[in-house]
Amino acid sequence: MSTSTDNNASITQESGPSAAVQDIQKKIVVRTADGEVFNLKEEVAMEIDIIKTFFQEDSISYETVMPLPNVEGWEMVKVIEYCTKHVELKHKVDGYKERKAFQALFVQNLSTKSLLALTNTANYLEVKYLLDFLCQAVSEQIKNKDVDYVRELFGVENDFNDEEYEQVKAEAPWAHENLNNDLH
Amino acid sequence: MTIAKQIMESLPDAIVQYILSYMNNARDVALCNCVSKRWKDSIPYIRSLFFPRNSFDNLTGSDTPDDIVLKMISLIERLENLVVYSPFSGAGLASWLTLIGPSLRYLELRMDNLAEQEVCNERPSKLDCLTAAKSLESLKLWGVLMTRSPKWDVFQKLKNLEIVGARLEDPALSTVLQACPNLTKLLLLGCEGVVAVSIELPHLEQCKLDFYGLGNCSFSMNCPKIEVLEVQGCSWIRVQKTKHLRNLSIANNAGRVYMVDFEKLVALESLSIRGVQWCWGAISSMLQWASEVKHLYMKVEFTGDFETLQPFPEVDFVDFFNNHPKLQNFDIHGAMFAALCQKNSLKNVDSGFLIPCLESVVITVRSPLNAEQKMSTLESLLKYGKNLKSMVIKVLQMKSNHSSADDFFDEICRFTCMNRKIVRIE
Repeated sequence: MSTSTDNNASITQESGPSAAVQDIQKKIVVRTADGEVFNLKEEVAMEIDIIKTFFQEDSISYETVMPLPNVEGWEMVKVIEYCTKHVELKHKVDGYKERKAFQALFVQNLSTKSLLALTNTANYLEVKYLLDFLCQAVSEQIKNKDVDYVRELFGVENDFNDEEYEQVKAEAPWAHENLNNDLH
Repeated sequence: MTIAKQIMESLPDAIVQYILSYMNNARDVALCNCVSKRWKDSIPYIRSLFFPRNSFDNLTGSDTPDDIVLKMISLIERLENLVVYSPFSGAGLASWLTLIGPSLRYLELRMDNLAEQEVCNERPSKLDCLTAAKSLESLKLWGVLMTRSPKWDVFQKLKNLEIVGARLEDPALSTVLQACPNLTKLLLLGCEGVVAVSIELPHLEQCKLDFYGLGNCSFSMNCPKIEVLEVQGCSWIRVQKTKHLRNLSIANNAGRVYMVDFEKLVALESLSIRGVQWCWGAISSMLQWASEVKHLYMKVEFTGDFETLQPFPEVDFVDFFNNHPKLQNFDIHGAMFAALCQKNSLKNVDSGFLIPCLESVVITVRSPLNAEQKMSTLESLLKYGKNLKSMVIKVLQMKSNHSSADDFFDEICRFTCMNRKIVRIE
């Protein structure tokens, strides 16, 4: 099931301190569901709890390639991007603005579907701060929309029958009045 | 099945709940309640509810706003944060707090009492009702009529209290402060009616006070942990236990500051003094105590111990900077800058004189009087401020129609050009 495609599929960390320091840092190798292999800097890898547990607590040698069958290659790229930035900002005294700018860009081109997939992945990989951020980003998409729009956006089926729906609607009838349907 | 649906279905309930817990606008929550059964089941885990001001502007049903808020609150298992900007009654508030009093940690309300005189007699009074929120950690009230002491038990957990826009009476304010002994942060902004206030809160770290009126309030503080203090509208200020005070700002737009007493200010890093008139004794005391200061902002128009507005006495340039050796950022306005530009300041400067830490200076110039001395002072700042990185000269409307104003402005421009890397005009 795992096809090793090391040739042009491995992605190494480019950003960070000087090359000399980079070389000294150990790398951890993971393989995603689609066979892509990623070399992570140790400090970034340790931000991902599931990886941390696998290598540190179970004392497995760093030479082992850890399989991540529930994670797609593109998701891993995004997770690495976020964790790398997080590690970078840890050392900065006043990184608030930078973090906000980064976060805005991070979600800019992600569809709701991708956002949800990434949320699922962040949960699976156990990266709490990424999960927090993504959940908040998803919740932003629900704001000020009507029920049908939300259902379509999230691919949620209406499992209320007519009677049940009228009942829940009646719990807060005011909310369904005068909605401005901004479907953007 | 669409992919979105697949993904949504595979999200654990806990994650759906977590996503929904970031919702707080009451209308959005009410709509999410109707999306699907699974979403409805997640609603009780929401932590916050927010009702914007216009929530109930176009109500058609039979429910009152109070009822609606109560129904929404009932959907939530353990509400922690409630913000209501829409109108409500005391009875409504009482009914909500009966439900959520024990779990509520953060409460923000637009009381909106100020315009209505008869609200005083409302039973139960909104203020009195608040005491039911026993676990509050943070309370913010907008527009409060607090002329009568509220019947409050002690808010043991209350760390943050903010009151914005209030009409107060001293005894009422005093009662309020006594009911919040564990405050670490206190904000009283746009408050009218205060004559004298004394704050003795053992854990208070940040305090910002803004009093409207004649600018003649008396303020005394005995808070051993105070770190940041801002006071506007007081003429008499006494603060004891200033060991940890880092940031201090004293302003008075309406009245005269005539007495300040701070003991020492050993930890002070940042000082701002502003106002129309300060007694000279008060200013010189502040400057003396603030000898360790790194950031200094001075904008006082006049001095004088009585009604008459007086210009400032001379301030020796060399002494000033020797007495504030750690000064990094300096912002000085008009009349006070003029006081610093006196004839004899720079006559016999010690060869070792330096302004070592100064990095940035902002000077606001208002009048072309004593232009020569002012230019000389500007040049000295550059000369002795070896580490100066930026000097901004703000030229406000010159008070004279003479050509002297133009000449002075030309001088400043020339000075700016010659020192383009550091100096700029705004």
